Amino acid sequence: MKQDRLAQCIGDVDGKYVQEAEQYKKKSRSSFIKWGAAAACLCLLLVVAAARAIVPNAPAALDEVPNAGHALLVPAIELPEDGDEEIQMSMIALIVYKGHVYTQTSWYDGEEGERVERLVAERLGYAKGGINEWSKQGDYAVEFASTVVGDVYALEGYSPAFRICIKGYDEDENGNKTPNVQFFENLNGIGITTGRDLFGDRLGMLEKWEYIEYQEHSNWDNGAPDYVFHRLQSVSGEEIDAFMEALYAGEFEYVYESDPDFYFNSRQTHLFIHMDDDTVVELRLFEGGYVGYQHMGWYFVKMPGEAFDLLFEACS
Amino acid sequence: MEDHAIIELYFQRDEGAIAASGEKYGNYCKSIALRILENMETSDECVNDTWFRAWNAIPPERPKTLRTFFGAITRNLALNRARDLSREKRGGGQAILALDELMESIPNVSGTERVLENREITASIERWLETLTKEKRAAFILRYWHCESAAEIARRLGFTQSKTNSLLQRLRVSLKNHLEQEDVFI
Repeated sequence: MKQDRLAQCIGDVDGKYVQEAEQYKKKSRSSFIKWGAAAACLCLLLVVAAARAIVPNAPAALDEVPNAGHALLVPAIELPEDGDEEIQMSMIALIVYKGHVYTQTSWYDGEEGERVERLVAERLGYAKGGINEWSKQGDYAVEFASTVVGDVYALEGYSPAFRICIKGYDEDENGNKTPNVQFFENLNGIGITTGRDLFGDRLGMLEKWEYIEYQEHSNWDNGAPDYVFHRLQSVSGEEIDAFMEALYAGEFEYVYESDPDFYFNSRQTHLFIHMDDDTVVELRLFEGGYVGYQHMGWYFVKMPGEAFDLLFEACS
Repeated sequence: MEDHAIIELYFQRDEGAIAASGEKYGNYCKSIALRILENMETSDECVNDTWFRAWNAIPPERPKTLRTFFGAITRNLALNRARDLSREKRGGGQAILALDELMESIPNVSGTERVLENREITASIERWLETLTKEKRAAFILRYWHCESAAEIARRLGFTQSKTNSLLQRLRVSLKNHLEQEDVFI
């Protein structure tokens, strides 16, 4: 077919275009947040997988979020040693704070940025850049080393051991400024046992949820012309509370070990939990009772049962 | 191992070339195949086939950059496999969607066209890529070379998903116009 031939010809373009795209990093629209000069590349999945394979992990404990005694230890992000530099990397913004690598999760701008700005609390320091895709592990030990630069703040209602942010401003052609807030979260080098460890102790979902939207997986995944978000209305508040309580009680699993094709083979849907502080938590639900935090790869809480089924079917 | 040393192994017909290629670029090629095929087993097969395709191509070929040379082979193998799976109605996923989108970039028949060699079409595409900003070029390559979903590209480029879709749609039309201007018939 003609489009196959065109696709083949696109595949034959000079490798420089492919490398350029792989190394391309988004430009900040902010006048305060400037991306570092070097490419900011890190593939969480593969690097974490590599870390699992080659690094015996003993992440430094954060005072506020102790790791000891947990059933699962999410490995700390480690850069490969010399000679392994070809491990595939893709772009993730990160900041080193108190010896931990915080990776970018949510980004709020426009009206959302204006609402979330009120959560921005104490200034913690200045992310000074200095990490690129060729950085070695030693570079990660430098406080506030980062792939983005800008002022780093704590967020009201969240432990800085879990979530910090960079605040900047977007400026339109008339010079009007609106705030944008990028969240960075410490989701590696941490111990987790039950859903409560993440969704409760760190995110406070049960107490803060306000309403839920969902997006069907085909719509989320397939590049449809328009993304469609549905307001979840067929499930009562009590039933959502019951779901959250079951989520808190369920145990985390590292599903890659049991089923590497997990992501591709199961029915799934996406939930956007709108919180009363105007933040949004994105969950990914898989048939069979698995609930994951969108930014946490292969770690899922297993919580089969009525509370899950009710929500999953209502959102599929 | 340095790229030039791996290439030398191919030239010497030393089978260590395949092991060295796998060690250095296996993860990279697998990530390409996995994105297209969404299946570990068939992705592994494509990566294994990549080394043997490379074995047959080098020599005489001496790739400028091994990484994208292997990546392009894996991509083509994976796309062919995805198309087969789609015909058998066993999947194909994101890759088939990306291929189908490219229909919008196929030039209309003008009457003056001639059938070009693939390398001439590729050269025309490269001329078009040169006219784009880095950001647009990245979006196009990530979608139609890597077969990344619009959601993934949106996250990478810091766009909303709808902005990404609209950008990709404009790029497809722009490519079509360019190919028509250059009388490229596919």
